[in-house]
Amino acid sequence: MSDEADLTAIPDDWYRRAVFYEILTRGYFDSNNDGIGDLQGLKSKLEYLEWLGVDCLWLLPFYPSPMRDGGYDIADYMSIHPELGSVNDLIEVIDGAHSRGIRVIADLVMNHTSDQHPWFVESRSSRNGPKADWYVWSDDDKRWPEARVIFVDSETSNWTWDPVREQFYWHRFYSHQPDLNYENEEVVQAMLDVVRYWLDMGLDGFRMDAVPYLFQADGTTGENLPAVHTLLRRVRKVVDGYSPKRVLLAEANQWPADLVDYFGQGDECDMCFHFPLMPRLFLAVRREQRFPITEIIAQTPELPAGCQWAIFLRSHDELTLEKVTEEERDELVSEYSRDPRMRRHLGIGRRLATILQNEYQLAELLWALIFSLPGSPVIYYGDELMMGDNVYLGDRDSVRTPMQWSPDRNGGFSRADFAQLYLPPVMDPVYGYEAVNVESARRNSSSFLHWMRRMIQVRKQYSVFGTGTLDVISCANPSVFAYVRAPGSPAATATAMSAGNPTSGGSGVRGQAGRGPDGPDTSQGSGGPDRLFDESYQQVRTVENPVLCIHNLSRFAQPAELELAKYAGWMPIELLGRVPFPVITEGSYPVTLGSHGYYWLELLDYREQQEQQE
Amino acid sequence: MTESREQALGSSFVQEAGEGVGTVASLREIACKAVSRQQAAEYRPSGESEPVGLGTAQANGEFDVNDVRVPENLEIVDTVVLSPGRPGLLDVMVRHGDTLYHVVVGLRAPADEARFFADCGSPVLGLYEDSDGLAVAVDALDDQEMVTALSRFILGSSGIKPARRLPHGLTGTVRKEAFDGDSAVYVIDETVMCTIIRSLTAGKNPGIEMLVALDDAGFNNMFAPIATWTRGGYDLGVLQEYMPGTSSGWDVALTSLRDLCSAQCAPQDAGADFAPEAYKIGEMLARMHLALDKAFGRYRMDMAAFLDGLGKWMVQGATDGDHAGAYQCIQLLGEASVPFYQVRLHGSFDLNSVRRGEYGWYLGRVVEGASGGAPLFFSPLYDLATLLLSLHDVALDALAERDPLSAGEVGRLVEAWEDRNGRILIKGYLNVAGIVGIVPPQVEYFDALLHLMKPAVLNGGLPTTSDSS
Repeated sequence: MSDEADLTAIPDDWYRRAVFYEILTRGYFDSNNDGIGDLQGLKSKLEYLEWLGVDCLWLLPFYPSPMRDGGYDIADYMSIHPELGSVNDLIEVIDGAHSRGIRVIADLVMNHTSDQHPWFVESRSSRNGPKADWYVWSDDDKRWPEARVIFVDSETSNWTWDPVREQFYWHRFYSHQPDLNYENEEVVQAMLDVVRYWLDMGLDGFRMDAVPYLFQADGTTGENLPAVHTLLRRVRKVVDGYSPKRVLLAEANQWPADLVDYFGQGDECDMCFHFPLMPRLFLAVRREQRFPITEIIAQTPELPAGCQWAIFLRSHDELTLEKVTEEERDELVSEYSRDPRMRRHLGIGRRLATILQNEYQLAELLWALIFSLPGSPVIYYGDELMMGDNVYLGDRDSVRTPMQWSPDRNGGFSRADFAQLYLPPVMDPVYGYEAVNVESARRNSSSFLHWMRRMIQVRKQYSVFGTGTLDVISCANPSVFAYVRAPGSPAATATAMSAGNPTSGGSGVRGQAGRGPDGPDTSQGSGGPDRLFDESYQQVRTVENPVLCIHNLSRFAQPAELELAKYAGWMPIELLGRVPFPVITEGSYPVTLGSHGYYWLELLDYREQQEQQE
Repeated sequence: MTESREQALGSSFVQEAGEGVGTVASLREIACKAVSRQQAAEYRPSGESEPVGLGTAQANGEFDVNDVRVPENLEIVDTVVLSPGRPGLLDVMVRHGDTLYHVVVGLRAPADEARFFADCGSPVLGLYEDSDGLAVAVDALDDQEMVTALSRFILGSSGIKPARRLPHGLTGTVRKEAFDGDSAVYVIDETVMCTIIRSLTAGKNPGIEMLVALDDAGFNNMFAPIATWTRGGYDLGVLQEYMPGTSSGWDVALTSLRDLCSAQCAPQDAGADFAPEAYKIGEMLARMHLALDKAFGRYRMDMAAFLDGLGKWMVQGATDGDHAGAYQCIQLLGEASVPFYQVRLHGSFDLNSVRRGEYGWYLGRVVEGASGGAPLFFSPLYDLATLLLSLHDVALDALAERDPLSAGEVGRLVEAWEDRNGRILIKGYLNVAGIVGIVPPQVEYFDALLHLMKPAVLNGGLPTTSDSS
């Protein structure tokens, strides 16, 4: 049973340390047995989410919608899809999450609406009506030819003819998702009202969908225009009027140099997804070389103060391969989606487990990277279980199958008749719900789920993972990727130390014997390694220490010699097992790693103790 | 400093100073010991291809600085105080026989605490006295603080490029990257590479000359020079930008081969397919040749002399290559009426000459001491040939790692790997605009000349004089 968490006690930049969890509400848990997951169902699973240790839920669109694009075609911004529940249900979810120290953000689709939205219905009905100019209309389809078609599988043009208005309307996505016209101030105000509405309900922020495309201009690609940033600053101003701090997380599939614009001077979005990093993680393990990762990191600019990347392996969308070269795309497609059915638009429509062919060791390595690289990790629901997918479902539904809770009927997702389910659960012998489910995984302490939980716990203990600097360590072996996450600015460190983490009940870590202020007294050790657990060690433990992260991207065991002279005299302590490693010397530091192995090593300044021992 | 540590240091000085403890040595004696340490760094026990290092040589009793006696033909050519006082730096040029050595002597107060590099043997050269009083003379190139100070000195010397001035200076985390009797290479703060030339050549050091020329010609795939150190017409050292975390081309290629041998599929289907990297290396080599052409110019190659020399070498018993094919190439090229050009070359360009970093491929170490030899002018296809042969060598290495019982099957894979990456490397090379002005544009001549470069390399060098005349 958790204590009530006081979210106001958490620092404003909580999102820089948070672990996010992406949820498809209709796929999570069905409370009323209609075959569709709902908000009450989600509320009933908050205990599991608290147990897992995530800090913030990201809810995919829950608005009324014809559901032709997974809910991203919104027909009413101020309501909840009746299949999912009601606004009151959402409030209960938010309150329930808050009581467990978990925040909740939701998708906000600013760029377009459904063609069923009353705004569009009205706009198309008349060229002169009050909402005539709320969308982007044209007499021909010749304008803005430089703007690329995004959904190449299903659309051939960004213009579609409307037989009602007898004009073309602009849509960067599906033709049933007309783009709003933000040149019209009324549209801006309407959207700001939407923002206020949900923040008043208690939402902790938004994931801003498709923000690069909000404006168009002649002679441009219609992406990342200055007007987009002007609008985002206005949205941010509204959001900043709320306390505790709310977060804006931008979805902008752009190169890092363009992505950083979405942070503004710290006055636009607080977070952005680092899209280019994600495919490069997969490329790196395929090539067994760190360079795809280090290249993109080297191209990633510094962030303004208080901003953070969101990093991830998979999401509700395809594994997008937009931000890789043609050649790299071919490589990834040939490795990870040999069946053409697995390919979606410019990406791969598969879950993590199936992309990796259920290789747990490789999955651990990739998550170790995600949990330790700069950025806040985002876990797609079910990936903590290594859930599979169903590529025979259409479009991106392959990765949106019901959450697998138990080996019972329908994976414990719903007691409805199987035929009623919004999508069938995965049922094959390898990934099917009878084998892969929360209940079984929770019972088995060696399960992947327990590993994920443990990693989240460990990550939380070290704020360097969220706010620390990144210092890549020299290593001649191309398959080994090593770096140090070191404390950032003293202000950031002090903030992290004083505020603590509400889900762990204070500044220490619950359940970690000997390491928190409430842990047992271990100061009675004798000489040798036991001295590490004496009082001086306890004091050291409350100080933020650097963490050395070493990863083997190869399926073969690898040796590596790391240049750690900067830390000569420091002692590495492995984070999971707390085993001390040999003290670092001025020469290169040799390590060996097993297949896809990794180490997280806290670095303790042992120089003084060493001198005393001498 | 604790008493026990001081005692230890003191006793070490006693040990290392050997007989005549407390006897002040002359600069000539100090320099002689430094030179002998430098020579001992090249010590190779019989059967070993690589030097074992001074520390090991000393531990094995193969070298003892206390046994050094000053030979008559050792003379101090030049001495400059780089940094007076204590600790201080003294830069000395010493001639011993035909070789001109460059030694840097560190002067420490007797009570100083020094941090020497590991496995450097004993860097203490003896007691020395100057106008600042008594000092313990140490081989500065084995003293971490001295190396950092020396790097700061070079940084402050002329030749620094303002855009590359280091705003935070050098704080002093220093490690040895390479070290032999010829040159010493250090990495400081993982941001700067410092090369000290230990055996000098008259005139420009070819490696430094090439480095600066490439930089001036706009070649980007390298660790750019920050500052050079020159005195009396000799190049003594260079500071370069350094990129941490690079891997040699050899290691990257070997990773690819190991992946292929395990996956047992076509090279293009293997996860760690080397082809994209091979292509980029080819491009980089072409850009380097174009930059060298821009910097040093191009010259007509004496094809007749080359062909004649090569033909004679092959008759004398060259053991590798397809001789029949080579003779046909000789005939073809001998009848060619088009000009063939030569440019300044790297000369021993192989997979260990390039390093893969975050932004792509970089030229590895180019600065060496006197052993590096004279500047090389020849057909650019020579560098290409050494690189292709390196692909062959790494393929053989990978094959040697495998179970001999599977050699046949794996051998075919490895051969396919070499063939594919060789072709793609050439493709990358020829893809760079302007390169066909230096290499023969006609495919048959290109192929023939490249074919002949391989036996030229395998036969241990070039059959013609390698100069720009």
